[in-house]
Amino acid sequence: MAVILETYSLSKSYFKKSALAGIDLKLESGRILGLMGPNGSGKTTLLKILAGLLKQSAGAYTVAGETDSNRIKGLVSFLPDRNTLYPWMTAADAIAFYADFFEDFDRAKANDMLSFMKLEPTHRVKAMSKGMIEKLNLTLAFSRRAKLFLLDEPLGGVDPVARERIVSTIIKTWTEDSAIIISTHLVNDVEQIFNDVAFIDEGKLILSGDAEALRTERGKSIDKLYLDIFEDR
Amino acid sequence: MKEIIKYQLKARKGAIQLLLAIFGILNAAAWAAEIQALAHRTNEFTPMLAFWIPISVGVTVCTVIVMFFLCGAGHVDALLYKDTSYLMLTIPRRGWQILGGRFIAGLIEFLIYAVTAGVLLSIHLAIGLLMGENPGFTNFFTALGTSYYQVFIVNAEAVITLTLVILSVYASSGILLTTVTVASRTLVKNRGISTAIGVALFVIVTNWILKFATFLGTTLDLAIPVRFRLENAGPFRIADAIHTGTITSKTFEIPLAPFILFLLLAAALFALSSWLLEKKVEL
Repeated sequence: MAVILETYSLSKSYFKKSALAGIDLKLESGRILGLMGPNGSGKTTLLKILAGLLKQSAGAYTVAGETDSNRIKGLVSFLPDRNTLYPWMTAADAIAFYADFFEDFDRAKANDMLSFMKLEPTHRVKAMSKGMIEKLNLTLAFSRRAKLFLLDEPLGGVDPVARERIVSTIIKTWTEDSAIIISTHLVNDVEQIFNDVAFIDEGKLILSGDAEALRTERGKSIDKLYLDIFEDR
Repeated sequence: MKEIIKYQLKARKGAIQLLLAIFGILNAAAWAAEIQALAHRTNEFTPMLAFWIPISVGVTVCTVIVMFFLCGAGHVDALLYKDTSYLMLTIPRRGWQILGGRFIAGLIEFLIYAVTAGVLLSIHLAIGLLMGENPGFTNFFTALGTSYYQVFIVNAEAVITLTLVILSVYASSGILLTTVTVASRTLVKNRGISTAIGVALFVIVTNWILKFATFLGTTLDLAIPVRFRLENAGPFRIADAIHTGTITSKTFEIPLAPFILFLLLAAALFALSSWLLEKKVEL
């Protein structure tokens, strides 16, 4: 299996405050990594560095062997924790935007996913509910043939039906030649799809490994493990 | 870069339509007042005229001036402070492509406002010439046609020179504004504080540039003569109205060195802002 992501002592600090402290990660193709930790633990900071929205203070990372941040943007599909689409856009406009800017965007797949998500191409972003926007953003992110998918809290603030549909989409679009990182604290809803997990706290990686191996070794679910680790925080 | 231009214009479409509609409505109200005064041959500055002309002309001119700066800067604040910034800054495009595309889109947007304002204001001028009972103007279209002839045919050279001068000021002030906005955003994330720093930097740097430009203008003997002609005006009697017919043409000297400086600075600042956007701006 090819290595999709490798980080080397990745750190981020704001003046004296450390947001991320020496993260070393290796993610192979075909794997889905659950990145877990409480609010403010550094999950979003890590994903934003990988997406090119933040610059690391120290350390380095490669995506599919690439180090140039602009070329990495062409390999990484990022789903942030907020709506980033212009309010004037319709779903069709958003698809056209992605098709114009990302060479790996699959327009046919996007249209299929749009109907799977029960979204109309003429729906305007400013008239969509939070769940609809989340589904549209997921459609756009997963219609790329990217090497690395970064999903920041994809289940936050959506109803259980939409949540189920989002998880189904992640499973449906999973491929052997790419990798996915999902940051979440709604562990119970998605833990069954994780191959790997990484627990992060105060910017440090405190536990990581194969999800199944950890379940067997600790004799508990990842959700329970999360509660054990973070219940005092 | 053409995709950036396309989506920036799409993003601005609503605002452009709104401003053009405001221009249209206000100016139409003023024209109605002017036509009414013309029809009654009152030759007085009626309360209707006193209200609608300053409002319509004022709003149109002020909007064009404000847009001169905002469009020149490519509406860069929307790229740095909104959630949509995530979308634009995760696309695989270089900083210069993003800022260059927004600059060109801004120029197109500004030209839409400037040309529309020019047409609307020229209609006021034509009606005004008819109200002034200038001999030779039999109707509105003669007055309008003569005005355009005087500006674009008789004074074509001066108009082209002035347009180039205005464009060089547009480019340099817009790119300076972009640079200070991007630079202040790299220093401070808070929009209010960052904008205040940006405005202060803009004023300080503009002052330095203007001082240096003045020095260059007086030191280097490079100037373009711009001649405004009114001698072939025929029925167009504005010169007479202003100076009882004594002035028929006037030549101004525009120092060239400051404008070369502005363009060189614009190129350097564009490179700096592109680098800052790509390497230093964080969301």
